[in-house]
Formats: sequence, structure tokens, C-alpha cells
Amino acid sequence: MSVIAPRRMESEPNTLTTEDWCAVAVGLLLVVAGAIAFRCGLSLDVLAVVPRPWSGYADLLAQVGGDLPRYGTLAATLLILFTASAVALGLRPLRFAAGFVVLMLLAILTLAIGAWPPVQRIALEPLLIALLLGMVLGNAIRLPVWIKESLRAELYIKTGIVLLGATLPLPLMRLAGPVAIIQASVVSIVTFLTIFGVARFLEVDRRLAALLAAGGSVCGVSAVIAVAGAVRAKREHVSIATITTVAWSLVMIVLLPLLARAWYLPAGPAGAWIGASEFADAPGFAAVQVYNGLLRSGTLAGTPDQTVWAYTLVKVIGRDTWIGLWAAVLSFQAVLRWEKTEGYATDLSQAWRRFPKFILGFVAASIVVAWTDDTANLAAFNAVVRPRLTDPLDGLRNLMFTFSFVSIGASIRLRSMLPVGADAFVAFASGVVVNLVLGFLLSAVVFQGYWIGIAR
Amino acid sequence: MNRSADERCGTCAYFIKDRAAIEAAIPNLTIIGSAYASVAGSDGLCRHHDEIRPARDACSAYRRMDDTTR
Repeated sequence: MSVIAPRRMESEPNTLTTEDWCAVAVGLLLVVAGAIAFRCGLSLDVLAVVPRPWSGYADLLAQVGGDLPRYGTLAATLLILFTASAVALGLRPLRFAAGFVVLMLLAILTLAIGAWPPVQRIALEPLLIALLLGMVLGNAIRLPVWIKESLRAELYIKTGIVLLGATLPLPLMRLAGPVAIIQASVVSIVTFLTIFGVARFLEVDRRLAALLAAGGSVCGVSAVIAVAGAVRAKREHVSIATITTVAWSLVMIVLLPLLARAWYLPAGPAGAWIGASEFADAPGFAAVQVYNGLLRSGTLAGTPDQTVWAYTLVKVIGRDTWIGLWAAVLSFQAVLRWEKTEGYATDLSQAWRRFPKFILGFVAASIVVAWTDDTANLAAFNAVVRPRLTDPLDGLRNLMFTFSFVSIGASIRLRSMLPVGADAFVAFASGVVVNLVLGFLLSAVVFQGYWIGIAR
Repeated sequence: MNRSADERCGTCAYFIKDRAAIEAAIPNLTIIGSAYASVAGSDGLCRHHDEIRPARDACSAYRRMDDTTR
């Protein structure tokens, strides 16, 4: 065996033109624009337009008609920012722009449905409506290619997470970060070893076992992608691990909030549990929104902010940051132990190269808002900063997540979600059980007091 | 054995590094994933081995881009 000394190659993609950096650029542009507007006594409120509760079609049309200039400004701003991202990524800009206009209309339609009082009464969250609407469209009709060009669920969710950083208080990140990292690390390592161990016991190929374990323990399909190259996975392995992870992630969107409600988990522990036990960022955030819908019904303790903050700390800060490290460790394992084959290359620098860079944007957004916020106490923050800075950014964040969920729904082909093999399913399911139990124990028992008290 | 940098997977005719083509080749990858993400690094799809590989790998099946003999 010879391990090639790594050296940068001309054939490697420019790391600055990845989706992560595009999300950082779009998200931070919006946050910085909001901060500058705030400092100048203005607000990004013009961009934070969403349908309000409506009583009939005439009411809705009058409302949308009145807000048309704001919708136009929002559409033009996002169209420019995301089409520029599409150009940077090498997508076809005209197709993307045309598809993005349709995506935006679908997102507004989703939010309008979600703002209809009968829908609000049954706590059907807009993200679930977006998912269902996308699934119906994607499976009932053959979507034109130009619409598919704009279905970039990960680009939108990463931009949403950068914006999420603007609403997560920086001191909270500093104080709660270590607990989140400890909790997420314990869950990640135990779940990884469980899935990998069960899969190998069932004689699943070790490369597929590694993909399933990474998908179930770190951050879903992103982890599968990160580890696939590291272990030289077969194409079918990636497909199997992807379908398994997606299927379980979708199940968890409903299961986790319902269990949290059944056990009367307060907002903080529930958010931490979802962060520890969901597999991917987007479905995890949908689960948080579903829980927050139940929270608003009044039978649970805590605030929606607590759920979002605890979830974000555990999932984004605690678990997502593991991706690069897992990929590096598995790469060394593959090169030095599994495949003693000539020409395989590995080095520690991939821990950084594969690091999900949007997390840097998330932290930067929190720093920008902390720098902008000059209020002395919570009351002043709620009176001044919240309405003029963080609420508009919060609205944009929700819109990004809605784009993401329409894209996810429209990308799911129900016919292709075929059973993936009993062994892979059983191995992953074992990890799900461990993930749920361990995540619950850490969130609701060991660190319960900590997560209950999470506050600005 | 050492190989020169221009005989690694990244310059091999079997290696698909176009991210759109990788997404098209792996069903369901884009539902909640992306070949355009940082986590994908410099990986590509080797059509010879039907495997995902880093561009820095190399193997004996290397084929130059302009090789029309096979």
C-alpha cells in the first residue's frame, strides 16, 4: 500500500463556491443589512412580510394586495441573492430564477394556508404544509426541469440557520455551548457505535455500516455524503443510507414532538432532545416547530424561543461540528485498516475541508447582533431590538425554512422510497432507539435543570 | 509506489466531479443533502469502481482524459 502525500490539485473544486459559503454570504448580507438599518433608526421590516390570519378569500386578497409592494421588494431581493448563489455554484441562472419565482409563490401560498384560523386551530405547522404541498406537486405531476433547478433544500436551510444565529443570544452560546457539545458528543459516539456494531453483526458491508452510523449519529444525509468519500463507499451504499436516513428523519418530525408532549417535556428539554435525536437539520427544525405549535396550546411549560435555542445549540453547535472529524477518523480507518490498497489518500486537513462552513455564518450572525444590540436589559431588548431587528430576521428565517420544505417535499419520489434491505433497516432502527433513550435521559434528566433555565 | 499529481482520480476519465452529474447519479441524494455542500470536499464518483472517492486518490485503472483506446 502507498498513501499518496496530499497536495492541492487543480481538479479540486474551489471550496469557496460551495453551498455553505453561499448560505453564509446570503444570510450574513441580510443580517448585516438589518444591523446597519437598525443603527440608522430603520428596519428590515419591509422584507419580513407574511400572510396574516384571514377570514375569507376577499380578506386574503385585500391583505396581499395591500402588501404587494413589500412582497415585490422581498421577491426581488431574494431573487437577486439566490440567483447570484446559483451562478457561483455553476447552476443555470435563468432556469434557477424562473424556478425560484415559482418556489416563492408556493412558499407564500403555504404561509397563507398556515395563517387560516381553522388550520391554526389544529396546530398544522406551515413547514408540514410546505412538505405536503411539495410532495403532492412532486408526485402528482412531472415537474419541469427549470423548477427542479431551484429545489435546493440544503441551500435554503443553511441560509435559514445562518439567520437563526441572529436570534440566538451570543452569551447563551458561550454559556450553553459546552453542555450542548458534551450532550451531543455522548449521543453521537454511542449511536455511531451502536449502528455500526449492529450492522457489522448483521454482516452489512463495513462501508455501508459506516454511512448508516454517520447518518444516524451526526447529521443525516450531510454526514453520509461526508463519510462516503472517506470510506470509498459504493454508489448503492450512498443511496441506501440516504433513503434510510430521510425516511427516519421524516418519521421523527412527528414522533419526537408527540412524545415530548405525551411526557409533558418543557420547551428547553424538548428542544435539546429533538436536537440530540433528530438526524438532519431541516427535519429537526420542523419537529421543533411542531412542538412549538403544541406549546402554544397551553399545556406545556416554556417558550418557543427556548425550544429553538436548545435545539440549535445541541444540533448545530453540538452535533454538526462533528462531521469533519468523523470523516477524517473514518478515512484513516479505511486507508490504514480496511482497504490497504495502493493509492488511497488521506490526511487530517479534511476535517476542516469537510467542516460545514455555514456554522461559521451562524456564529458570525450572533456576533453581529450582539454588537448591534446596545440595550441594557431584556425589557429594552423586547421593546427596541426585537421588533426592529430580530423579528424581521426571524421572519426571513421562517421563509427560508419554508423554501426548504417545499423543496424537500417536491424532491421526494414516493415510488423510489422502496424498502432498502432488512439488515440496514434493523441496524439504523437500533440506533434510533439508543438515540431516543439516551437523548431523553440527557435532555430531560441529567441536564433537565440546565435546559429548563435556558434564557436570554 | 508514488504517482504524480496528474495521475490521481481528479484527473481520471472515469472520475465524475461535476456536482450536478453526481446528484443525478445518486437517487434521493438531494432531498435533504447536496453534492454542492462543503462536506462533500473534493469527492467524485468513479465510474470504473462505481464508488465515491476523493479526487486525491489514485489506482491502477487510471485513464487519461484524452485516452480513446478503451
